[in-house]
Amino acid sequence: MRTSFVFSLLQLKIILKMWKTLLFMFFFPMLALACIGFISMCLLSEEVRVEKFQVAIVDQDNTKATNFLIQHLMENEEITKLSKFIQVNESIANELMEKNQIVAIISLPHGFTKNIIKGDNTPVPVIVNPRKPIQSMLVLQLLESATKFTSAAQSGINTIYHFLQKEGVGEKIIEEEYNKSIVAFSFQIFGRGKLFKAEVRQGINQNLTNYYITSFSVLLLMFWSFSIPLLLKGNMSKALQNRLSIYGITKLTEAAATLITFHSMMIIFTIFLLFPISNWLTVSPINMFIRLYFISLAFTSLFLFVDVICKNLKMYSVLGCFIILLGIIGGGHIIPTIYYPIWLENLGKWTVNYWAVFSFAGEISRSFALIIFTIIQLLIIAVFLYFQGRWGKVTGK
Amino acid sequence: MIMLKFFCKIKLILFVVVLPIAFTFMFGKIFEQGHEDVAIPIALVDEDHTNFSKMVIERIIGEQSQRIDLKVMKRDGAERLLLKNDLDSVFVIKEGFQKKLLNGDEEELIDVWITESSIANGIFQEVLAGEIMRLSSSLMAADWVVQVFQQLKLIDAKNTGLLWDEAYQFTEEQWEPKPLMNVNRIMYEGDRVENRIDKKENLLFSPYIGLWTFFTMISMIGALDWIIREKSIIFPRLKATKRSLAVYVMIRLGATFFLYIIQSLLLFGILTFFIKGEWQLSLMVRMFAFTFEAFIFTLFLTTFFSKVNGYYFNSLLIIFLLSLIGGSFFPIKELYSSLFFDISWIFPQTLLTDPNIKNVFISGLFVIFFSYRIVRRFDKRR
Repeated sequence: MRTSFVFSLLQLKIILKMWKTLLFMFFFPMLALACIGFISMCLLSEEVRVEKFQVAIVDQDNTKATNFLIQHLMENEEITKLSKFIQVNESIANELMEKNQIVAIISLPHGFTKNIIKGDNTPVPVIVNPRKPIQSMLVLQLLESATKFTSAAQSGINTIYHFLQKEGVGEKIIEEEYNKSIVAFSFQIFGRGKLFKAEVRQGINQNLTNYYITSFSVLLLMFWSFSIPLLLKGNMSKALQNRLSIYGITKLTEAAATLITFHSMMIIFTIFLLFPISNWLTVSPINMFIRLYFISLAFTSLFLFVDVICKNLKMYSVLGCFIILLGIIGGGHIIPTIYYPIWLENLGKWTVNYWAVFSFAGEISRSFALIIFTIIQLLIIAVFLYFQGRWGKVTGK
Repeated sequence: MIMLKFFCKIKLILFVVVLPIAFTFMFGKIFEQGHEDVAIPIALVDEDHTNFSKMVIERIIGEQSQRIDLKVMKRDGAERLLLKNDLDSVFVIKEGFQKKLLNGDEEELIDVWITESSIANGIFQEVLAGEIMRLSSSLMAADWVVQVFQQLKLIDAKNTGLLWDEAYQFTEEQWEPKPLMNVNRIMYEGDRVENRIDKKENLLFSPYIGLWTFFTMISMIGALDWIIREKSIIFPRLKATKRSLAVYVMIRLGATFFLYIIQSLLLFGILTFFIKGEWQLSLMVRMFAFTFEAFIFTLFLTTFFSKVNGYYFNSLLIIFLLSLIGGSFFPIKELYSSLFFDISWIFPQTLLTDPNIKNVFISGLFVIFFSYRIVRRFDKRR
């Protein structure tokens, strides 16, 4: 044990000598994650939030019904939150589309009203701008529900008209009832908001920002724990190693030393991370430290294991990248796992990152999974090294 | 002959050819599948258990969009999942839904539970409202007809039920086979735009090509690490031999590069064979160009470091960052074009995503610059 300590002191010294690399290692992942954050912020704000997008309506039919429809679109709350509708003629609409100023052109075709009153299906062509994919998807979604409401109202109106006409009621009454029904049905459609009563619940991750802070902190810990063995590995030449083993410093002692170094480095990094994050998520620092500690311990043991089974840096770096990518996908670091298809979510449930993200968010059962994982990893490493040592003796190395 | 010797190392072949391709396919599959099946989970709770509520649920399931993963579940389960953030939002059809609708009362029939991170409740609310409106319009029309008939004394009191049913059916029939109005989606295809749509559909971002760039660059770090190892030990000695250093280095580099060319050929072959999509031959040429640029770049990195672990560490980070902002994992071109500065032309990945000839020139310039630097640095050592 004492040799391990001495050895780990040596390793720490080696690491501290590479202080430039160390600084790089500390700041670089933050930089990279900030990059991702910046990219997604840009994506969100550029695409959706910044300004209302414009949609052109071309009304080639120009009747009472189409006017009603356009009015509905222009006054719809859900729609006006996001977009602005302008009524123009066809050539202007095309010109605007060419200039990339509008997201879509809705054109109500000739004979639209007639067809609808007859009860025929009438598709409304919507020309979407492929240069604004997210916005045009939103417009389509909104239009689809808008056409549904129109269909609902119109089918009701048609029924009344049809039955009155069939029964041979006088023209004047039909006209009167027809107009009355238009008002009533549109009133009903506009009032659909009252169908719903919304209620905001408090979940575990309060909002998306907090989710990403959690996920990125876990990712940061993962990056760091990946890079520490990278610094330690390959520092010792084969000749030196052979000489050390004569003095009784086996692979097991070396691994123990690496574990100690690794662990102490991770604690230092964790403390750097601790205060900003506990402050942001309003969790007490002690509570947060316990969570962070177990997560960093789990990653430490994971990468120590990779370190032990890989003979050289080449393998370590490739396998490490593989594990990191798998973790990024499985843990839902970029896209939260709830949006995954079920098979992928189930796959993700078996990655360390998934447990780490959830135990970070305060789920105790996942923390237990992490602790058990760490213990199993350490056991496997010990058993592996033990047998490696024995085999080594047998072959006379 | 020497080239052949370097060429036939099993480990190198495994590392350069097999690993990147295998990883590319594995992650590519996950990316692709995951991307296709991404859906927002929303739960629907039926507490009414009447014909109307069942009908609404059935219709919504029948025409649900791909992006929404609708689950019908019990109240407790939905509540628990929502609080665990496993659901985006929950819609509860309250008890008395049918009764209230039949009475023409439309207030607060549905409870919506959302959290602060809900994103799709607005859209789904409109979808659900559409179905309920369809139902309530039919009811309202039937009521209306009966009422007018009664006012005009066209019908006996006992026949109203029949008339009501008839009117209700008539309204419903107008939804079959298609509703009165629907949206017909058309992509705008102007002269200038056409080109871009094409790219977007098949090449602008393919997870396979993106991942391939990442894994190829990572494996290049490993494939070139011998330069660092031999820089201080073997290179000086080689200078004294008959065969000069330059020949040795060139042959070894040439062998490795040749392996990469084979690897990209192989990948291209596998892609055309297994994955649907238009893989044009020009893409293959651009893949070669990318391989060359990345190779030169990694070589450039090797000139900076003298210790193996420092080299590995720093180059891994650099490559990782380059993949991240260069668009190996996400389609980045769209983003940069919306930013105020478009720097996507700097990255070697742009060679693959954008077939513009301009990019080839820029990469060519980079390659010349890097090669110059490399030669200079090697010269200094002499």
